[in-house]
Parts: sequence; structure tokens; C-alpha cells
Amino acid sequence: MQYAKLTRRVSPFLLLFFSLLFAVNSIFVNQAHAVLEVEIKGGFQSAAPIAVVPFSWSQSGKAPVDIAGVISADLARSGIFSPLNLNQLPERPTMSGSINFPRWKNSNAENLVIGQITAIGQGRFEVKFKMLDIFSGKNSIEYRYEVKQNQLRRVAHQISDQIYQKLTHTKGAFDTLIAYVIVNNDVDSKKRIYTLAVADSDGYGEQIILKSKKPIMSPVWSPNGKRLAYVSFEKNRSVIYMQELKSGQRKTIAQFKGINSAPVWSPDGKRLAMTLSKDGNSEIYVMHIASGVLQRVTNHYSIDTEPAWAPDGRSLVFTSDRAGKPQIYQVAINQKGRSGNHRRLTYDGDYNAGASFSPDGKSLVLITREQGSFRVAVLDLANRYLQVLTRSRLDESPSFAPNGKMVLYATELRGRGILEAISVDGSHSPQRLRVLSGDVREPAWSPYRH
Amino acid sequence: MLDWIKDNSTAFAIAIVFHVVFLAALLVNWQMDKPDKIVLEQGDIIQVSSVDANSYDAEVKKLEQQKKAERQKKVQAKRKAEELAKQKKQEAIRKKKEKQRKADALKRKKAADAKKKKEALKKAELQKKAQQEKRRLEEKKKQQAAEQKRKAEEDKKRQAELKRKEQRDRAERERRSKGIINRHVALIQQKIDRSWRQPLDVPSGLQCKIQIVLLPSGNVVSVKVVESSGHASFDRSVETAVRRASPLPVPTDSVIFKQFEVMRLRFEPGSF
Repeated sequence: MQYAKLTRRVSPFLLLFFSLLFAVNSIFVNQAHAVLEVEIKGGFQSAAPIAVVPFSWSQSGKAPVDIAGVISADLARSGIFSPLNLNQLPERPTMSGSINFPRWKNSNAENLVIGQITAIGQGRFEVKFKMLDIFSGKNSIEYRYEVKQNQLRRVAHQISDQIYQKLTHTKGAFDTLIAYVIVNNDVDSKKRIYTLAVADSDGYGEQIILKSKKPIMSPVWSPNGKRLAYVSFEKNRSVIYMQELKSGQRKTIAQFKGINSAPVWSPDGKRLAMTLSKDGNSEIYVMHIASGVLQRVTNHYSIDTEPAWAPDGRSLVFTSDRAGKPQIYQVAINQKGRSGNHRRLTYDGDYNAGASFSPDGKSLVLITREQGSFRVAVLDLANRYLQVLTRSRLDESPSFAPNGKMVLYATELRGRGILEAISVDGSHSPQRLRVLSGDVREPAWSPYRH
Repeated sequence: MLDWIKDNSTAFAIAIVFHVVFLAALLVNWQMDKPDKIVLEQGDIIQVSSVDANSYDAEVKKLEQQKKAERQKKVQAKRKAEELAKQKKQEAIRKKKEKQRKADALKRKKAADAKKKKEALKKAELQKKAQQEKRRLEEKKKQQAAEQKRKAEEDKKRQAELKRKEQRDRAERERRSKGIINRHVALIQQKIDRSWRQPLDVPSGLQCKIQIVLLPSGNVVSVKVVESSGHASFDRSVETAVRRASPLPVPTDSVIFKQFEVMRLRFEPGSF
């Protein structure tokens, strides 16, 4: 971060220098060619400016959902787009025929999103949108949806995904969910209330999964996005449950003696890795869900916890203080329940914990201690380079978006837990997610919705 | 004298011929002028004789016959004389005629000779003139050739000078247009550079080459990716940069603009 900021400050001079250098170069080198060749070396990196014009609404008053607003917020949260503010829009067309392109060319935007929301009766709505490239004037994408009112927000996220995919050639992860735990202080009983909730990726549309007066911890998504596993202390001891979101039906997975914690689904959805202390010390185990058969992965007197699967399902990473301080280790897993040797992955600093894999398996996101603060960092597994993404004091539970482009984590703001998301390239500031109230912890980003 | 003869051999020859002809003519004339032989004309001669009576009759008759014969003879003689005279006269006429004819012939010959002489002179004159003319022409030709040669050399010189000037001008033009090209390339680079926003979500070290077609106004007509970076959003940022920078600051000189009509631009991010 420090380095990046410094070089960015210097860059205009460098740019000028290189521009001049290459201007001279290109002229001399290329004069002989029939076609004039010119070198453009420089430019600047920034979030892509995009204009999302408020959608037209077929009836009087406000539309049930400000779809353009939801899209703008989604794109802004991604960090790689910078939607124009409403007062920056030179006009507000809702049909492509009424777009005055010269005006838009003078705006900062490169792409323009317009659309219409129409009530079509029986509580149903038609949403149409179109994205146009302001400079080439071509139709980029155009879609039409027909949904019920309570799906309008989801349509907005799906539009965000379309835009994101069109412009970045990476699948968008806006139409996804997040699970998290909220801790509230009940005013009457003066006791804490724990809530397991699921919401849209922007924090809206919260649904309560479980409420308890005892701690709820470590929610985690099944690979198909239909279930959650979590740890609940509702029985005054830690128990791992698995719960179907749609039906609310749940199943006890592990209630061994001692600690039952940190469940995590294998990529094939058939196994759960977890931390158990049933054998006396906190160790990593893998349970075959259907049979309940356990496989012990670690065997060390130190604390081994927070397992996470590699996307290929053939290894786990976990946190261990076997070297004195918490560090990340990797261990191979085979189908027969045998595990190989472990390998230490982190060496930066004296605290690296809570790792999980990126969807492509090439990096880990984890919490590292830097200057006394616990921050989100990404470890490149190829070169072991650890890039710290945040500047906050107390971050926890980072998880990748299913497209691997963003990381969701909890952090602390004035003594209260909040959710933030940050782009993994670390080139822009974190985006705060909307939270209704309370102290929010342990977020988990869902897989793609099917 | 001999030299003169040599020099004027034709004229000399003509003169000799002329003299010979002249002498010949004189000789002929002198022979012709000799007086003709005087031919004496014979008068009529009358013969007288005596005759007897008895025999008068006979005599008479005889006489008569004689007379008759004489008469006849006389007549005959007379006729003969007449004939002779006539012949003589005719001869004289003939001679005269002949003389006349000869004189005429001589005269004609003289005239012809004179004419011939005149003609020869004329011819000589003409020949001389022709020769002079020929010489004059030759001289003129020579002069003309010299003049032409001089002119050609002058032309050559002028052309060389012109060529040198042209080369100087071209070099000057090239220097000037090079300056203009360089300045406009720098302006274009600056404008595109300022318009080039690169996406955040791409790896570093990307490059992209495009070919653009411009109008004389500098407006970008088309953008074609020649060498892709392999990242669509990076390639698009390059196209957007060029389109955003349109119209590009191209030279107003239509000849120099030709070099800007089709351009290739290689894009590479600066160091951040």
C-alpha cells in the first residue's frame, strides 16, 4: 500500500518522461515505415466511469425499487467502476432513441445504462435495460426481465452482473448472498441475542436463519449454495449444524466432547472439514457427511484450526501455532482419509490466520498482523508474496466472492462490527456493506446462485 | 595566275570553251562571206542565110521549114533560155535562200551560242550562287549547331540548377514537414495519453497495437486492434481512449496529413 501510494504520486512525472522519450523514439524508428507508428506510453489506471441513468417507471410516484441506484451501488462496490453521481448526468434518457451522444462524450462516462420498469399487472413487473458504449455508439447489451415485486432487487443485481461480465469479461458476483452473524444487546433482558442472517451481496434483503441467546459462529455455505453449516452454542456447548435454507430443516453434524468448530464444505459437497478437540487437543478432521466417518488430518500438540479446502479438494490449509505463532500450513488429503506432510505457507510477520482459497486456487486470503493491527491480506501461492489489502485495525473472517475478484470481511468501526468488501487488487478503498443494526461478524460469501 | 586558274577552274574552262566557239564561229562566217562566182548570161543569137526561087518554094518551104524550125528552135532556145534563166533565177533564189538560211542558221547559232554562253554564264553564276548559298547554309548550319550546343549546355546548366534548387526545396520541405509531423505526433500522443484510462482489473505488462483511420478533420473513422493484449477490457480501453481523444490534432497541410491518415498506435501503460 505504502509503496503503491508513493509511486502513484510520482507517476505524472514518469508519465511525461516516458511519453517524451517514446515520442522521440517512435518518430525516428518508424519514419521508414509506410504507416506512421506512434507509441502511447502512459495513460492512467482508474475505476471505469459509467453512467446508470434512473430507469423510467410506468406509473406515478416512485418505482418500487430504484434499480439504477442498486446497480450503481453494486458497480461502485466492485471498486473497478465509478458510477457517475446523479448530478453528473448530462441528461436522463430512458430510451436509446433519445440519447444525445455528443453530450455524453463530454461527460466522464464510457458506458451508459438506461432502462424502464413497467407494472404489467398482477403484481408483476417488466424490467428492460440497455447498455451502450458512448464512444463507439454500439449496443453493448440489452435484456428484459419479468418478475414479482420482491424480485426487483435481484433483477438489479443480475443486471449488474451482466454489465460487469460485459465490461470485465469476468462473471459478476452481485447476484449472490452473504451469511453473517449479528450480535445485539437486548434492551429488556440486557442479554445478548445472536442472529444468523442471510442477505443479498449488498447487505439488503436480510433474512433471519436462526436466532439464539447463545453464540452462533462460523457460518459457511455448501457448494451448491442451498445449505449453511454453522456452530451454535444453544446447547451450552459447541455443536456443528447443517441447515437447509429453503426449508429451515437442520441436521446435527458434530457434537463431540470438547470443541466442535470451524466447519467447511469440501468442493464436492460430500465432506466437511472441521476442528475437533475430542481427542484432547484441537485438531483438523474431515467428516464424510453421509456416513459420518471421521478422518483425522493433523496430530500436533499445538492448536490446529480453521481448515479450508483447496478448490481441487485435494488439500487443506489450516492455522497452527506449532511454530510458536499462528501461521498457515497446507496438508494434502486423499480420498482414503490419509493425509500427507504439511507445509508452512506463511512467513511474513508473527500472525497469519483464517485462510481460505481463491476460487482459482492460486491465492489465499487471510488475516495478518501488521503494525499491531489485524488486516486482510492476499497470499500469492506462486511467489509467496503477501499483499495487505486493508488499513483497518481489527479485520476478521475474510472470504472470496465466487468470482475471486473481491473479498468480504468483518471489521470494527467504533467498537461495532461491520461488513466491508474490497477488490483483491487492493487498488481502491474498501466498500462498506449496509447493516441494519448491531455488531456484525463472520461473514461468508455464497457461491453463485443457480 | 595558275593558282587563280586552279581556284577558278570552272570559270577558266568556260572561258576557253567560249573562245574556241567564238573563233570557230568567225571562221565559218568568213568563208560564208566570200563573193559568189559571177555567171555571165548569154544573149539570143540570130542566124541569117540566102535562098533561091525555085527552090524558092522549096526554098521557101524549106525556108519556112527552116524558119519554122528556126522559130521552133528559137522558141525552144527561148524556152531553154527562159528555162535556164528561170533555173538561174531559181538557183539564185535558192542560193539566196541558202545564203539566207545559212545566215539565219549562223544567226541562230550565234544567238544560240550567245544564249548558250549566257546560259553558261548564268549557270556558272547560278552554280556560284548555289555554292555560295551552300557555303552560307553550311556556315549557318555550323552556327546553328554551335548555338544549339550552347543552348543545350545552358539548358543543362539551368536544369541542374533547377534540380539542385528542387532538392534544396525538397530537403527544406522535408525538414519542415518532419518538424510538423513530430510536433503533431507529440500532440496526438499527449491527447490520447490524457484520454487513456486503463482498467484496474488487468495484469501489468499488457500491450496493445491498433490501426486507426482518420479524416482530415482528425476525426477517428475506424479503430482496429492489430495486436491484442489478450484482455478485452484493456483492448477496449485503448479504443475508447482513441475515440475519446477524437478529433486528433492532425496537421492541416493536406500533403503532410497523408502520413496521418492511417496510423498505428502501440499502447503500453506507463510505470505506476
